[in-house]
Amino acid sequence: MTARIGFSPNHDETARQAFVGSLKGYVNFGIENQLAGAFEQRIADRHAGPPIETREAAEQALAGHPLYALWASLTFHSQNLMWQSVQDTTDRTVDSQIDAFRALATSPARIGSMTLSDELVVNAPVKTTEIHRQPGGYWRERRPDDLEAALNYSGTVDLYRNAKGMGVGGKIGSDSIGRFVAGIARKYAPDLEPRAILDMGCGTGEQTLGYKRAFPDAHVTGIDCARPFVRFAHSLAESEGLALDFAERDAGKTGFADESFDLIVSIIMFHETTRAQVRDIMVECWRLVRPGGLVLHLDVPYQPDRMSLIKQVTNHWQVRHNGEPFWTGFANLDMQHEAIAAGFDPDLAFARYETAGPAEYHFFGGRKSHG
Amino acid sequence: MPAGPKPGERDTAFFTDPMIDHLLRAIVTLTMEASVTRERLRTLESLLVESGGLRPGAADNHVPDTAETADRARLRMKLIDDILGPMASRLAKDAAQP
Repeated sequence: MTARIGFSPNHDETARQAFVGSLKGYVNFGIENQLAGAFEQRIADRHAGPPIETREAAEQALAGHPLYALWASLTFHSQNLMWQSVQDTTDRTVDSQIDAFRALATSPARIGSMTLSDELVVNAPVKTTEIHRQPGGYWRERRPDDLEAALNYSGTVDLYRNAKGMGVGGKIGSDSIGRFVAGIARKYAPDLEPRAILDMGCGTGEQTLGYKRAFPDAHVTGIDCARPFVRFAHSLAESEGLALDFAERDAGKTGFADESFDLIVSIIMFHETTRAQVRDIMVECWRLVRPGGLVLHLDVPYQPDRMSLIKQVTNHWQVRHNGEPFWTGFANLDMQHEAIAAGFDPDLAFARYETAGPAEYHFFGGRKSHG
Repeated sequence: MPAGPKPGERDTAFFTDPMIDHLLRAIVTLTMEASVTRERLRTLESLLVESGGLRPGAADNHVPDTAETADRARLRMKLIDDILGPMASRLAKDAAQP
């Protein structure tokens, strides 16, 4: 029997995780909309003082409002509950999942590869931050061949995305976002038939598999600097019968040869890196992409000039209290400018927005001219 | 880097009185478990009805044996600790501070 890799909640765990998703949706939309109304009322009630035009002023106007405290407390707790609810599934399945990983990673029938690197060093603050407040962060290993961080991440990423209204119709563990990005790649570069694709910050690999399904003739490589994720991604691909290569590498310093890839992609990676890394990664993309190739990154659309003041306040709260410390630094960058600074031709660099149903995403990158 | 909760920090409070946060969270956690239990019961009832395995009134007339009674008592105690434990821990932490 083929070993299977994946986050597999039982009946009650599924019900618990579904409740968390519903709770998050209720807080993100129901209560947050009420909070927006309260904010407008507070502004209308002001009879003196300077106009509220900045996020900081809006935060001051809301400080002490009981609805803001309620929203914050429930948002914080919904994140606690989310991690608790997936941890139950992970604790119950992690040993058998590690067995499955070992069986797949050592199988003579293996069709892809996994490369781990003891030389890779991930520094603070990235290494020491619990992104999204995931207990232990992305890197924690508590047992040999550990998959715990990957199972927890895989179990929450779509739950979180859907509850924020950022889902594109995928169930937990689906490749819907990867397929969405592949569709945008075809739209931006209809003449491009990629032979080699690189997925940076591939995480647990579900979306990387989507690129292989969208471009079955391409050689697809996924890299991430969190070892449990790389293990999970590799064994997931093997269990799905798809030939991909996964490696533990830093997206800013991959070690691949110049012009190795026709299509370089990432999904919500940049807002989890420092500003310095953003620049390193864009320079690396320019070095790695072949003439005629496309670099296409997807990230959150939360640039301040696109958001209402109240949304800026609640987003900044997420930055402070929900493990998104790099978000503001990224959102304040002009990514078209960053692409040009990395080497892309100004006429071929881009930063724009694309929608998938109610969800909207920020796409940026560029093409390298044929030379 | 904005100042946020330290890694592992799980009881940040946002109301002036942190007990309000903890009571609110206790209610939400209870609601979650009630929701899970309801779904479980609906699943079981559906399966039992489909299979014809449940006689009308059987659950209402059921009397647990001694071992089952003890097990239920243990599970009740754990549930109470799950609900009230965080509040007690917080108050103990506050009391321990100079």
